[in-house]
Amino acid sequence: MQNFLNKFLKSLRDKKQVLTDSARHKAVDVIKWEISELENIFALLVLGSFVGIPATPSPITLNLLPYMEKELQMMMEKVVTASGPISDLFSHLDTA
Amino acid sequence: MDKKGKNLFFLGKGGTGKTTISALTATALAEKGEKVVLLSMDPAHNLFDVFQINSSKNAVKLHDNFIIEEIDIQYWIKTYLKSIEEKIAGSYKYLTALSLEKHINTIRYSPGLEEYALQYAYEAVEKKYKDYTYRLFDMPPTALALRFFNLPILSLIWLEQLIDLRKKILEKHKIINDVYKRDFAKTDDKILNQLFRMQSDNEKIIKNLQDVKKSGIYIILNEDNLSLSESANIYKMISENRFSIDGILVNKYQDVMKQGDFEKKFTNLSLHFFPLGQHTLIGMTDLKEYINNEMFQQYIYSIMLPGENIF
Repeated sequence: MQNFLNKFLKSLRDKKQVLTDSARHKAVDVIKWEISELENIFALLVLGSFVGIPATPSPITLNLLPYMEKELQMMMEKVVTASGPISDLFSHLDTA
Repeated sequence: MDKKGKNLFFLGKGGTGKTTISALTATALAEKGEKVVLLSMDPAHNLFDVFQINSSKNAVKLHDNFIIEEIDIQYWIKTYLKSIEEKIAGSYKYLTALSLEKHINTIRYSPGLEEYALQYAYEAVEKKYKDYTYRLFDMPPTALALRFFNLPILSLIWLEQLIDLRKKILEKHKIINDVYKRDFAKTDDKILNQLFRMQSDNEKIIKNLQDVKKSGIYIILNEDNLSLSESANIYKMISENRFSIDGILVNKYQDVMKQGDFEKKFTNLSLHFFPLGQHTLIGMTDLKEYINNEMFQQYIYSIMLPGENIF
């Protein structure tokens, strides 16, 4: 009986964990998308000259460049999805 | 006089005599026993020619208390880009670093880098010659010189915006980390730290350029309308940034234009008129001979004892 109760409680705890994780994911997905957009804007402002947009004074770009590998790659990826920004937006909103 | 040292900048239209005047000023200050370094920031150097000595990549000691040096902008661009490349190689994945190489090679020709090389060199030589009473800078022609003075102002505007945006990004990251109950140290963000570092460096440069005890700008012009109007533009741009202008130096003066005409253009500024020499001033003997005239001595005392009327 004791064993059965323990198993039952554990299964409840696991289910609660799954539900909590799922709720967390839903709560942060839109924020994550917002961050990626903000980071892309930041990257475009700093590294714009790399994709043909005249932007910040070169010294600011160069001084930040060593710390912006992630942003640089993200900016390049954004170029790929740039043709369908609306579908990109709705795919994120759907999951929310 | 603040013995921590003062930077004196000489700028003006090409051909007005920036190098000659800065060489004369440096020689006169050294003759008075001051510790002086004269640095040419002009990409088309002729500083060593004025002193009639062989060109050198290194600093040359003319006297125990007098050094001259020509700043090689290309050298400073290369040094700066190399330091960036090394940082990238240390922090990026190999392939990303490799694909950036061509961008770095191209960026050395991008606008903005020449004036930054000047700023980079300026900061380095200021540190190198920190125990000198006077550091004189023979500046490049107007366009580049003004870009040099504008760079910290422009950079600050950009940095302010980028810091705001970066903070916004980090706040969002913090929300996510809070939801997942993960630790998040905002202060560890390398990008934000670098932005703050640049902001503080630029603020320091601006503060120094605005401080009359630490910096003084001299505008050199000749007795012609072109030189006069260009100098008025330089004066306007420099004073808009509240940088400290110590005086207007009218070189090769022959009394063709009235002194009052200059006074009208540059109100409340100290004006000095240097007569046209008998011949081109080349070599230490010529320079020492010229600085003995009363007008020049008066100008030198105005540098050494600002605000005091000696004559």
